[in-house]
Amino acid sequence: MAQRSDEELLAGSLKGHRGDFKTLLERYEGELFNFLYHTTNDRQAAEDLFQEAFLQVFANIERFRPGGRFRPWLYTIAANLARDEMRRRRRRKSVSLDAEVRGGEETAFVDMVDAQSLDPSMAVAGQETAAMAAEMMNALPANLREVVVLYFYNDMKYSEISEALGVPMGTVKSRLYRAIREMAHAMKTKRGF
Amino acid sequence: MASQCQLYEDLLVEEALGEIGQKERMFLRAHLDSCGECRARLATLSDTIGVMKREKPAQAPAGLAERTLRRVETAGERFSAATSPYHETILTEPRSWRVRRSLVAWMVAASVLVMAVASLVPEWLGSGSARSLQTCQDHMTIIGTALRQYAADHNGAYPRGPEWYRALDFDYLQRQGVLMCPARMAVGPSSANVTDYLFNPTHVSVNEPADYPLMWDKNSAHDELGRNVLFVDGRVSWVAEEEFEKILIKYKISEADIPWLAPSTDTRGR
Repeated sequence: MAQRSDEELLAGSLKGHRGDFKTLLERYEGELFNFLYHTTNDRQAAEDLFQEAFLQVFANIERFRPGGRFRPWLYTIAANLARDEMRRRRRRKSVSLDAEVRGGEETAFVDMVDAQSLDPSMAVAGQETAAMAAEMMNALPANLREVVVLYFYNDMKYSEISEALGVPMGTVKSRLYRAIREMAHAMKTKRGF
Repeated sequence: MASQCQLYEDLLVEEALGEIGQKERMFLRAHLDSCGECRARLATLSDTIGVMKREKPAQAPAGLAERTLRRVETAGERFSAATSPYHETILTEPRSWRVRRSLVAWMVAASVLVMAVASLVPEWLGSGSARSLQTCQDHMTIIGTALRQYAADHNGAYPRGPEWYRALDFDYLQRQGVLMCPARMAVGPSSANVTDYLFNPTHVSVNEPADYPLMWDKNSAHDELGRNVLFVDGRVSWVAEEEFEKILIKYKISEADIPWLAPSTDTRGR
């Protein structure tokens, strides 16, 4: 039997079919968690945001535009939540770094990464690559980081990222290229060559 | 970076990603042969992309979907422990749907009232034959309302297949009795037929013209001069046989194309 589309499951959920909503949750469990984890670099935050995203889907289910696609809608909600979370963190971080910035030389963008914000598991020896990737990612603005996460970690094609984030494919490419150049610059700076 | 190198910025990234076209690669290679700075940049880009590609996707914590579902259930009543489909429907449907269903319920009630009055005061409608004709139209009106309700919930499409009436069961049609024509019921129950009405499911949607025939009486249900016809716009009319033939021709509806539209061999009385 053909797999039911996301939109059919959402329609079933609208009618109160618990099983349909559960199937949607299970379908996006891995994919969306992966996106949120690599966007925030925090497992607990990713789990909270995953739950929050589906709570918002549930709360706004009646506003879903007939004929619309569920996946971009879900990613729009999740990306907005992740941006809010990162803004909150940045505000907290800017307070703690304030004295240092005022007292000394300007803090480089790549140095804004707080080692404590990294997942503890990454501090384990042998996971330098993961820590390096996370550090490079954290140095990126949210709109670039989203594209990087979807391309490298969610293994999406340009067209899929375009659909998920609701931006033109040319924008996806330009954001990805810019992000890669910034990460390369950050890595070169960190390695001192 | 030399100003001419800026021309190759995007191509360097595409090359590092392995997504460069053949022509562009040749163009870039020609530049790289003579530009050490761009070769170094390509190496750094490839290194960066290598780091990103080595990173594995994160695994979701076990039971995340189930925990989320529980949170959703706590937050709202949509998936609360409804004890019956009816209870669940009342709890879960948006208000606009409930209003629409209420409207249908009122229309059904009104139709039932009309039928009750018609059966209690036969003289209002003349002969018994005329009465059954009117009741038959009431049945078709109720079915038409249910069909439109179904179509509204299914992107404008009506149910398909020989057992189309099953799709209306409970959710759209509370009284299965209306599937039978009173004129045919009068001569005894039919073991072969669940409904006395012929439904035309070929390419039918709510977008068909208003006079597109959606359902009609079996031949000879009332008399051989005509039959009741339900149109896409919900109207039910008595249509003379000659006129009905013209409608079928106009919309190229062939009974041969629809197996269950084959003329009934049921010889029960009129």
